[in-house]
Amino acid sequence: MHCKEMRGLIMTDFIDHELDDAARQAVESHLSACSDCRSVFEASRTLVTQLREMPAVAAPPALWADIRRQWELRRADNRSFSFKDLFFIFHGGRVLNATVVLSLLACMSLAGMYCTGSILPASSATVAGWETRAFNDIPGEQVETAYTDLIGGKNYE
Amino acid sequence: MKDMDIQDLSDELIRMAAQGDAQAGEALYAAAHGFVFHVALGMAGNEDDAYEIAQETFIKILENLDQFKFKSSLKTWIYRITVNTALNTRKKNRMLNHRRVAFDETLESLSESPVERHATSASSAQTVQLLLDTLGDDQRACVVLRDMEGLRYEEIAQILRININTVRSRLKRARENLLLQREKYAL
Repeated sequence: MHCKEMRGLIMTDFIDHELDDAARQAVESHLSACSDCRSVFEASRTLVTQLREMPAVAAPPALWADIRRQWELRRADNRSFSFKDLFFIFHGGRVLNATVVLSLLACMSLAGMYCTGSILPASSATVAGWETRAFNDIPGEQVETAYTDLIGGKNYE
Repeated sequence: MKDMDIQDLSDELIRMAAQGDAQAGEALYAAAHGFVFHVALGMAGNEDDAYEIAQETFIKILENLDQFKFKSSLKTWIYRITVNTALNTRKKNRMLNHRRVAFDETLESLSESPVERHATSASSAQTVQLLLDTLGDDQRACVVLRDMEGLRYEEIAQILRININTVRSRLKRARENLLLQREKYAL
């Protein structure tokens, strides 16, 4: 193994005790023979020791009181009504949001087509080659168009 | 309240905290505040920003505890929230730029008195913080979790949701940068 690769190991796995015994021995053997790599190791070890010996600073005593106050305030806010609640469905992932939005758009489009009478006109069935029949057994003024091919060609009149 | 280790917290206590029980929340805080504040300080470089990060972290933990599935370690989950909050806060406050300016200014003042510079442990800690301020966020997170918290590569990879080899390469580049800065300014 070249010095460049060895230094990568020295500065990470070796110094952090992440190597298995065989790899560790290989690095140690290289270090005993290579003064350049040894100086990299010494410098890295000093640096890491300096970082590990950073004095621990305790969290200020007021921290929990501040957290608790904010936590309670936010919980009180969450219990009260908010217009944001109306949009809770958008709290999911992107796929869920996209599905919800597309479904809403599809429903609105279908509703618009239905109201304007453009949904599934009889002419489109004729163009498609389907025979159209009317449900005459439905009482009142209601008349629905049936696509007999789709329901097996039976006559439901 | 006596501080417990995070691993000693029962699932029942965690569920109670998730439902808003203040005593259970305090027990969770008592078990986690040590490492949360330590990581926050390592990431921020000063106590004021660390306070803000730790505060925001615990609010997020307590508000989202009901989403914790008990499939992974609670400690890993809390570490992840802490690091993410710290990274977001750093971005928000543009701390990096401020710190780099402070780093240059402080180095000038430090170079005037090199003997006094290492006289106390406080100045040594200050030197380390100044060095950490020269790192990018990703490298700094790895150094804080490995060298200050003593976590293993596998744990760091889980917390940061990155490949273990990415942890290695970030640590290597971070240490190379730190050695370079130390040599450059004779710290």
